Order: sequence, then structure tokens, then C-alpha cells
Amino acid sequence: MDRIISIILLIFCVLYFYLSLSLSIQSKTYPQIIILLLSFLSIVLLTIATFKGEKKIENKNNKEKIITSRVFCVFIITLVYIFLIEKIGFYIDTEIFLVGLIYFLGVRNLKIVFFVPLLFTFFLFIIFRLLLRIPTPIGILF
Amino acid sequence: MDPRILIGLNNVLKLNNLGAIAVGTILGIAIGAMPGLSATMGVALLIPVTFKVNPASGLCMLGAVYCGAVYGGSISAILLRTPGTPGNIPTSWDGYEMTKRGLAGKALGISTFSSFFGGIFSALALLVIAPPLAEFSLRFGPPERFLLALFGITIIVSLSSASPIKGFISGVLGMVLATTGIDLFVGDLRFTFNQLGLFDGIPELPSLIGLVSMSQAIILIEKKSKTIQVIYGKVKDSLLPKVTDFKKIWSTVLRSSIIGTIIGIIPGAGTTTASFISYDEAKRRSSRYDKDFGKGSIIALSSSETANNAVTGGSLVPLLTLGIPGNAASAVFLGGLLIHGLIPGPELFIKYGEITYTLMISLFFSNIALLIFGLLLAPFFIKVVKIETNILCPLIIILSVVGSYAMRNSIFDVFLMFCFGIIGYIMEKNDFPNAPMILGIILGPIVESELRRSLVIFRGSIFPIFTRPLSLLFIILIVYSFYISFRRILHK
Repeated sequence: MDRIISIILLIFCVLYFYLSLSLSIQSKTYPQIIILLLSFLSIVLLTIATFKGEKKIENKNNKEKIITSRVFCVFIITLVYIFLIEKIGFYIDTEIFLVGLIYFLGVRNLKIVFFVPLLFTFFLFIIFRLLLRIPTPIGILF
Repeated sequence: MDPRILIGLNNVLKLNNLGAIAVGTILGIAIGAMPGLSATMGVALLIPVTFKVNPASGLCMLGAVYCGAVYGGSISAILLRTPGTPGNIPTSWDGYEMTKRGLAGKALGISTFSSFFGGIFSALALLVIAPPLAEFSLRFGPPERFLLALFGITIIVSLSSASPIKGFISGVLGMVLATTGIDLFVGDLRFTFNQLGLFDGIPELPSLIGLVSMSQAIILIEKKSKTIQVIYGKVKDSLLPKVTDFKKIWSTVLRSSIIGTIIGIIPGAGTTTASFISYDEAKRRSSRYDKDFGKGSIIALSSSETANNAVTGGSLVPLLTLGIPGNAASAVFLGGLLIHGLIPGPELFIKYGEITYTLMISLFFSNIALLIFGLLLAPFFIKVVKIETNILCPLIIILSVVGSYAMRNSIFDVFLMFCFGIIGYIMEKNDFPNAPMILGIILGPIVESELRRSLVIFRGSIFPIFTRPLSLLFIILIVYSFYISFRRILHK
């Protein structure tokens, strides 16, 4: 995994260095120096990862395994939520997101699934809209 | 004793001012505790509220919000590993470890007392030695600010002792990302990919929230375990620190108070720099005999919390005496002063002396309020830890979203926060520390801009920097810091 990461970093460095070429001499010097430094470090990491092998991280405390599908789904659901904020309005979107995600994560106590989001969204409304007067996106709904 | 001190004290003890302090402290703690709302924002959001009251009460309230927010961030840092403000990041390391072991109460108690001492120390410094301290702040020009930021970055080395290469990569990557945006000297657009939201560079707060809070929310649910406390032992948790605890941390608290106050005085360096440098210093001195450092040490915890609260008084020194804000929050404070018709400078101490001294004395009371309310409300806060992680995660995500949005009213910032959330999660899973990247993003721009300013002043050559005594001092500090850290890394 370290190898993959260092290769991605190197690609990133090459890309950014290429982008910096079109800048004026004054503004490209500093970035280019740091990009070169980063490339050097990535090569070092690549070398270490290739020759020394990778350390297996022992989970002394937690013997549970990471459920990647859960992680992935939460990211996707959050992305959809963010995308919809400006479309259907912050408060409605937040409400749906909370109910959906809490249920998805495995909470089955229906009282919690419905009332915690309601309470929390209400609390957000009081604090942000009424007290602090921070505007939130209003889509078609609210 | 200066008679104005007594006048100020008399003023503060009036009911309306005490009330303003109490309300300000509670609001400050609440705002600070929410990941995404910073102390700066807290002060900014409450300025309009102070319109309706007289200037003295308004300023007392702002001071209380400031102190409360910087402290409040430690609560979510300790309980959820989601620092409420960037200055609480080092707090989250040891504080959260203590929470996992069922010692959340103790962590909160230590944090509250540490913040209290730091705040009182800096309030005292403000009151007693403001003028000479202000003169010190004037000696800080671009070369000194460049070196201070560089010093902050060398801390990356010491923070990376677990995996040096990965730590360096994280830090340098942060610095590269920080070059995004309009070049302030020449006007070129760097790495903005035609996105308006990136013209000002990568916004600090959303990237921080993503790296630390959002990724932490995901970590909370990646396994089936439903609670934060994972290590159960026969430890008894208590809120009030014992006498032995105080004896253990008193030297750290004193040192961190000094560090925080001085960094607060320096324009351009704030709670983040102070807490990191203080943590680093404490680590340097104590990690030899304190085996818990990094895994739940109260010395580590107190070093960070004392320093960030000590910044409050320090940052008001250059502000009140010279009109130069010590950090972002005090810059907002400046706005608050001007709105009430108070212009910083000698006039503030003579013509408006009563109000100014009331403000300075009120800081003492704000910190006392912080101590009282912090300890009173802590048992309620601790209950948060008992909430199932499946419920906490979505709530933290929402707060992260709101926090990233609130600064610039921008969904783009929220989206950036999300991207950094993914990056932060990947980094965490592969043993890349995120603290260096945060330092790189925050200090990187300062390093570059102050270096370039210095080169302009020195007309292209860097050598005049050695003729400035303060710079020389920093250079020695940096070299020394590198040397010590490298030696420690090689030892392992």
C-alpha cells in the first residue's frame, strides 16, 4: 500500500510541476522547490517500501476487522447529501440524511431513528438560524 | 497600585457585566466545542449582539466568548477526537486516549484547570506589562515571522518520530497544497484549476475539519464496535484532579503559559502555533520519564490546553496598545472595538481607560467562569461519550458540513472538506500522521510570504538576516530543534 501511495504522490508531483512551468519565475520558484522535495521523499518511501517490505500493523486492542463496504457507503451517502443541500434545502436534506444514515448504520430502535434527527435538526435550526443568524442553503424546499 | 485597576475591578463586579461574562463564557464554550466553529467565528458572530449593550459590557462578553471558545474546543477534542478549534488538536491526542480508557472526566478536569491557569497568566501579563510587551511585538518583522513559521514547521520533524518519512511527506504535501491560489506578490494563479473557491488558496478551516473531524467520524463506524470506550480497566474516573496530578503538571503549566502568552503577543501566530510548540516542548522534556506521552499523559494534555488559553491575553497586548492584532480572533476583536468607537493606542488607556481596564480585569473573571462552568457542565458532556457511535458519526458529519459552510457561505468549501475527509481517512489507515499536513497548510503560506517579503527588504540576499538579533535567536532555535529531533529519530 505504501508503494501505491508513493507512486500516486510521484504522479501528483509530476502533474503539479508541469502546471507550475507556465508561471512567472517569481511565483514558481518556491512551489517548485517544495514539489521537488516531495518527489524526493516519495522516492525514498517507494524505495523503503519496495526493499524493506511493509510492517504489518498489529491490532493489539481491537481484534475487529474494518468493514470497507460500510466506510465506502457512508462516503457515498455523505457525498449525495452534500450534493443535495443546495437542491432541496439544508434542513430537509439534513433530516433525511440523518434518518437514512442512522438506520443504515444499524440502529433499529425506531424511536431513536426518528426522534434524534428531529431533535438535532431542530437544535441546529435554533442555534444557526435564530441565534447566530447564519444562513443555510434553501433549495426548492427548506 | 494603579487606581485604574480598582476602577476596572469595580466596574466588572457590576451585575450586568458579570452577567455578560457568564453568558459569553457559556456561549463561547458551546461554540468552541462544536467542530467547525472556531473562536474567531465565535467572537465575530457575537459582535452584533454587543450592539445592544454598553461598550464595557459588550467587550466583557467578547472577551468571555474568546476565552470560552478556546477552552470549549478541548471538550470535543477529548471526548470525540474532533478538536473544536485548531488550537485543540494536540489536546485530542492524549485526551481521547484517556477517554478510551474511561478517564474522560479526569481529562476534562485537567483540561479545565490548565486552560484556567493559562488564561489567568496571560491576563496578568496583559494587565501588568502590556507596554513593554507591545514594544517586543514591534520587533517582529518579516524575517522573524518567516523564522517563527519555519520553526513551527520543524516541529513536523519531532511530531513524526513514529514514522519520519511519512511525517515529512505529510508536512511537505501540506505545504505544496498551501501554494494554491493567487500569488500575492505577482498575481499569478497557482494550481486553481479554474475554481473560484481556490483563488484564495485552500481554506484552512474546511481542510482541517475534513482531515480531522470528518475522517474521525468515519473511523467511529468502520468497525462493529458501538462505543468509544474500548479499553476497560479497573480505573476509577473522577473530575477533579488530585494533588499529585497538580504536582506532576505544574512546571508544564507554567512553561506552557509563558509560551502561549509570548506567541499570542507575536502578530501572526495564534492558538494553533502555541499549542503545537508547547506540546513539542513538553514532549522534549518529559517523554523520557513520562511513558504515557501520546497515550494518555496529563502532562501532554495540559501543555496544549494551557498554551492555547494563554494566547488570549497575549493576543490582546499588541491589539490594545498598538492596534496590531495578535491573531485572527483578536483581529475580529479590533473590529468590535472600532465599532464601539474605541481606537486602539495610547488613547485607549487614557481617555477610555475605564473601559479598557474593565476589559482587562474581566478576563480574570472570564477564566474563573470558564473554570466553574467547565467543571459544572463536564458530567453532561461526558454522557456524549456513551452515545452509540452509529449515532455520533452522522451528527459529527453534519456539524462538519455546517462548520465548513459557515465561514464563506460556500458549498464548495463543504465539498473540499469532504475531499480532505477522504484524504484524512486514507492517511490515518496508512500511518501517515495528519498533524504535519495541518501545520503545512497553516504555516506554509506564512513561510513563503514572509520569506519573499524579507528578500524584498534585503534586496535579494538572505544574509542580512543574520544581522538581526531576534532572527539569529530563531535560527539557533531551529537548528537546535532539528538536531535534537534527528538525534532522537536515529536512536530508534
